[in-house]
Amino acid sequence: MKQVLILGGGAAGLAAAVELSRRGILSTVVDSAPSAGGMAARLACKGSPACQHCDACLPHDLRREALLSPMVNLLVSSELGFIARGEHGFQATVRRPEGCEDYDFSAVILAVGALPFDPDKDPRLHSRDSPDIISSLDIERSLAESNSLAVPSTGRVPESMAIIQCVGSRDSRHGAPYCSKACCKYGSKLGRRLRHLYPGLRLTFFYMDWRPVDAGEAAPEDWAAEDEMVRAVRSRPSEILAAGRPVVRYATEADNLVEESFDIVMLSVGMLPRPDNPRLAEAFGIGVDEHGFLVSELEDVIVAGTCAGPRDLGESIEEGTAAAGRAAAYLGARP
Amino acid sequence: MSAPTVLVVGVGSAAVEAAREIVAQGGRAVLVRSLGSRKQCFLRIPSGIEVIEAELVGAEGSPGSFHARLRAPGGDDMVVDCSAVVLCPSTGDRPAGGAASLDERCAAEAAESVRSVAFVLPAGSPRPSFIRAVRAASELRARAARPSVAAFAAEMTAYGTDEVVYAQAQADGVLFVRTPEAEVSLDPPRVAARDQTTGREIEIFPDLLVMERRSEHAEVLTSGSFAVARGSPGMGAVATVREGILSPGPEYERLEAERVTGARAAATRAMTLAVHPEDRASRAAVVDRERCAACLTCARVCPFSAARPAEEGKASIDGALCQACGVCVGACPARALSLPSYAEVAEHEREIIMGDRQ
Repeated sequence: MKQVLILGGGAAGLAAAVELSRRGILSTVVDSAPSAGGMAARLACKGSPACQHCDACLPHDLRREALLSPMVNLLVSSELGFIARGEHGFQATVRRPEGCEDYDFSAVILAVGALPFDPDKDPRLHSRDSPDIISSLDIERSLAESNSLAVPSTGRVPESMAIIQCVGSRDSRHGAPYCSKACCKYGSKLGRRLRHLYPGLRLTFFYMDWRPVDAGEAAPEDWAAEDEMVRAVRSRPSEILAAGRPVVRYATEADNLVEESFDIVMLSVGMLPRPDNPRLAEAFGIGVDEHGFLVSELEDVIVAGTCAGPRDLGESIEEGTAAAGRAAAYLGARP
Repeated sequence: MSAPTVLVVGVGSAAVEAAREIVAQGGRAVLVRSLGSRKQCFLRIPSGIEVIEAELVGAEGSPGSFHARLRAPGGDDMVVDCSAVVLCPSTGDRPAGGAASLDERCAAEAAESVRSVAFVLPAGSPRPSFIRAVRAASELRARAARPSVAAFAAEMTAYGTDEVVYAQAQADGVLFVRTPEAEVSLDPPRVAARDQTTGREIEIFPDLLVMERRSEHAEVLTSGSFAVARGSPGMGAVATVREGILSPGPEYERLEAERVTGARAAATRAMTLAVHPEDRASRAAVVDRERCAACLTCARVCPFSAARPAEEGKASIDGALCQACGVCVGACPARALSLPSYAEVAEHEREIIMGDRQ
């Protein structure tokens, strides 16, 4: 029976697998992590208390459906060992903990995702020098696991927090020159969630431009206007100092230099293409763009999700769904 | 089995893309559009797509069998049977109504004699407008005459890799002014604003003025007189509150790449529903008749009226109506109700956690 290889079991990969399964098409999802869901599975619900459309629940719904479907062969802790194009598709070997398995695939969907920017790569952030200068993803995980966030160095409830946007993005020296697209959405919603969990928390949101993915999103100024505990500062801090409590150094619109300390400084990290994208592209006969993201013009190798460029979860899932449709069309056209 | 029919409603490029994708996936696409006062449409419709010049006024039925009522310009109504509907609201359906939004073609169509250009994008401009202005600005700067170009925008919405295009335009000498409200007057054209980033006052007298209109975000998607609310996240991608009616959202809110993705996702979902309507019955709540005390708590709490009294007054669940939401399972005092799919997943996940199998 014809089947589709889906490399990567994150939001886009699962969306593709689920859509194919609903059409009665078999797929094998290969993911190196011990469980499916990818980066998305570590995100927290940001209800404040109403649903904030943060998309964090979507990959869980998809994963549940994929696990239940007999049409989805979900292989975790697995890697693609070998791939070769044959007459009627691809021959592949998947390396699993218990040994290797050979497969024949008619089409491939590449959904290998992207990597979060590591703040330790930018010395101005001093994230290595203070436990209280942390990445947004660490905060997501803390909320997802325990629905709480403590100041790492003291264990106390945070009373003041800075959210720094565009970390590792719009930065040609450390990180990437492009915009990571999803962080305005997720950074601000994370802030709202924290305000809801900790009514006494004073938040300062440092941003450059406001780029909402959802057109109806309230801009930081409007958020600050409706919540007196929130300040919106349009400024990109020049440095985060680790002197006891973390200190954010920034310039105001009047060009004054300000230094402010916070209990926690959250770094909204951007996304980077996986360093093995060029190798993967070569193996499948496709290309990478100037930034290192995958690009395919082949009918039977379809790219979906953040491995193709910066996206939020909603767009990744739509892309995975669309990729399933293209794969189905390709399979249907060949007897 | 003949190809399922999917109705695609809309006049923009997203509708054409969705229709094209439906044909590519083996369906029969019927493009329903109401050009109204526009009279002309520059989009090329690929062969294989049927076009009906009409307005969608209603769609009754369920996935697999919809009866869509269309109203032609002459006022005559017709009914088209289809398996699913893809709604692609576009510029003309904007709540503010009226003319097209900022079009990149303005650069190509600008007169050769133009020496100074201003783009004005007020607060509330649609998301894709900024990068379109940037591209048009770059095109103008590439002319031999090198006109001076200024863009006054409330927000510089250059998403993803478009940021690099924006940076290049800045390096190329396009002046970007961040202002929520530029002063615009005509006779002669004049644009003035205070740049919020630098505090500078800027005033220019452009030969060409290109202005964007505000857009309001609406939770309800409309195309003419047909309206349907957006689906909540849990309903899935490109969903509306009505099953079988898909929508990638209003075109004017989405960037170019997002439009294509959204249109294809909507076409894909429509074809999946058309070809394989969901088997609701297998997901429905199950009654353990031995435990059921015929108290009918479930019938009272079910938001979808799926629980009813049946033999011996005990509960019976209508598989077609049940949404597997779990309210009855929690409410039943006798614990007589269960959701089989949830129990299966729980067992499966337990096995994974315990390391029994992958």
